[in-house]
Amino acid sequence: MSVINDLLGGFATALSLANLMYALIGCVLGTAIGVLPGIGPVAGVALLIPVTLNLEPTSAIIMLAAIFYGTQYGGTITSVLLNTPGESASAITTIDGYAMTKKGRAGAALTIAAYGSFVGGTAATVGLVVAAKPLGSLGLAVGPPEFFSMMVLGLALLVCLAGDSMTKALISGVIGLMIAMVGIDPVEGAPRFTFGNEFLLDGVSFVAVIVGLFGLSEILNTGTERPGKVETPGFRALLPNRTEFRRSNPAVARGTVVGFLLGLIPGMTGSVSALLSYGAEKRFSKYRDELGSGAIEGVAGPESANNAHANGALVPLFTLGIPASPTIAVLMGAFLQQGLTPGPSLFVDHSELAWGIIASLFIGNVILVILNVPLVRVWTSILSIPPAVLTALILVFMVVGSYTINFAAFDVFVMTLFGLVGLGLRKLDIPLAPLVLTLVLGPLMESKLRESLEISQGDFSIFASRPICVVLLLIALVIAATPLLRPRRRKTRSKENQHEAA
Amino acid sequence: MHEQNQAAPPDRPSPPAGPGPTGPPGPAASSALAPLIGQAVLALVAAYVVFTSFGLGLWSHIGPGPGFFPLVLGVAMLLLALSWFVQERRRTATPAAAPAQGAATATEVPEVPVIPGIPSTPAAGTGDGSGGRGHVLAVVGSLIVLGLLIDLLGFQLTMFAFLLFHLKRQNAVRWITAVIISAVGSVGTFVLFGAGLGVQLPAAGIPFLANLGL
Repeated sequence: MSVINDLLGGFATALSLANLMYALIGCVLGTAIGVLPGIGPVAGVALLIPVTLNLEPTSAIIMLAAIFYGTQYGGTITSVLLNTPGESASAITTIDGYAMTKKGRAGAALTIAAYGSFVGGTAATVGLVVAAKPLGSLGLAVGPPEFFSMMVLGLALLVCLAGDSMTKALISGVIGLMIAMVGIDPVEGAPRFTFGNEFLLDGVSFVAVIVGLFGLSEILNTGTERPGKVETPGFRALLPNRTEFRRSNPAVARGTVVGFLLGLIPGMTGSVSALLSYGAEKRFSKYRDELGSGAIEGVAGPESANNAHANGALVPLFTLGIPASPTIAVLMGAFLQQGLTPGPSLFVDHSELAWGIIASLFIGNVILVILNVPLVRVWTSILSIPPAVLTALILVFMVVGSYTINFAAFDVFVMTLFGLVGLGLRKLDIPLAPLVLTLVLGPLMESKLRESLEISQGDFSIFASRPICVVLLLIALVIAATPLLRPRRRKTRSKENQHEAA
Repeated sequence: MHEQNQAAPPDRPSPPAGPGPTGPPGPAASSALAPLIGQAVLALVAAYVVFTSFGLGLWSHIGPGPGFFPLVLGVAMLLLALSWFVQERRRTATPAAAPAQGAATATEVPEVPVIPGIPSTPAAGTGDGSGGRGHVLAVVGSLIVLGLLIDLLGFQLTMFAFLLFHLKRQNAVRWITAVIISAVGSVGTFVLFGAGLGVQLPAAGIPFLANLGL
């Protein structure tokens, strides 16, 4: 009962005129970012953190969260109409979504995608409401060694999923941890790797690094690419027929379950959820043979999954203070910029804020359905702006975003430097996702490790003496070791094939 | 950006290492050199971190000191750079193994070139061709100049020039349009952030310009 009371209190906060306005602005900006191939949710959220600096913390986080899940909706529009995903979680939607466009059913695909996104997002928020208190209490009961082990597990998962080379994913993770080391040491207060520069005493600006790595490096990498011609459906064509609607329901249900459950696991990303949801449709859908040639299930499942994932991923952030994906890591950075520490204590120290944000997720999902479907023509018109103009205007936001964090030109140089670093990493096929996560988690990981070792007076066996740590670290070890076994298995298989051929 | 944001970028075939059997040592050679440079840079950074960590103090009476974590990370990075180097060497030594690394996964649609020998989609990291060296130099150079001048000339003037440069560099729009967009992007942003969001962007450091409201 107290949960319902808390949630109602949250609605009272989220429904204030100011917060409704910030949720609306966030949804509009998020959808625009999602539509634009080039700025993904990570850079998009990071870029707009400075806009929220002078806002009251609840409004600021409501707006940033709205930007985050707005990108999930917006990414679908270009996937369906242009065969170009605006962000990675919508990539799988291109297969059937674009095939539907070629059949003249783009409107139905977009409406079903919005419907699936709404159901997925709302169901996951209900899950967050249910899980918030019990998981929060659990979070308060565990100590630094368990937290450290949990972070190791999350990183192991992310590294494992981040690309074809585990070495490169690990390199990316270690680079993030190294950047996070710059500044004052969190325990003893000694300056580290600051090169005598006063701007580095507080560490390298998180926003400048993220904007450089994700936003600027993309601009440097791709130049000013012009998207293809967009055929936007008329309002009448937006309505799905009865068969399409009926067929989409089981896919939406399956996608929601897959997305929410995977969202809970640190290290899993929205793209993985969408991909597995598509796999589930391939296996369980009555119409699986039609998948790939414009089946509505191929749109409904993944779109429900990526939105359920986006909201489900907020569960570990809110209850344990652990970001489950790179975008959530940026959102966590925004919490920290506002002087808030996400985690179990959030429900104790800032209960009104926590429940206000949760309530705003429900409201945001409603706003996005209203914004997305009827206004699809408006969103796609963004793509008709000449790319050079769009790039120049994005650069303005990048400069403003980096500069206003500390009001120093130094951060513009940091952003530029990390734009080049990001370009280099892309050219070398080193994934950027682990870097973002370790950049945010780095200081937390170090302080939890050092707190753990202080408890045990420097004895590392503390991690082996606590059952939760043992289980978490063993799982992490298994996950990390799996890719190492793959080449051997591949070699054995190819030898077997050679024998058979002979 | 799409894939990098949310992890799990689809595996892409790596470019062939070294010069081809018939072609001159052009882009292929430089692409083979790139990982080597990357490994060297990582190893150097790691060595610096390890060296510096000793001076920071590895252990204190309350447990690990400020240098402990950097030391662990520095050693880890050295090992990873070495591991990457060995992997690259093995891959280039056995050309037959190269396609296996970038082989199509279950999620990939195998690419069939429309014209034999020419891939139908741009290769990884090359963009569309407009993101070449000149483009990188122009963007990076303009950002450095902007960073150097922003506190002296103020946001509005610097950003106006920055925008005009980028809009006319590729001749994307007519002069008049470029001037209007630059004015809106610079003065408009200054006013929006100052009046609307309470975030004051820098005014000119030169009194004459500051008096003009720039």
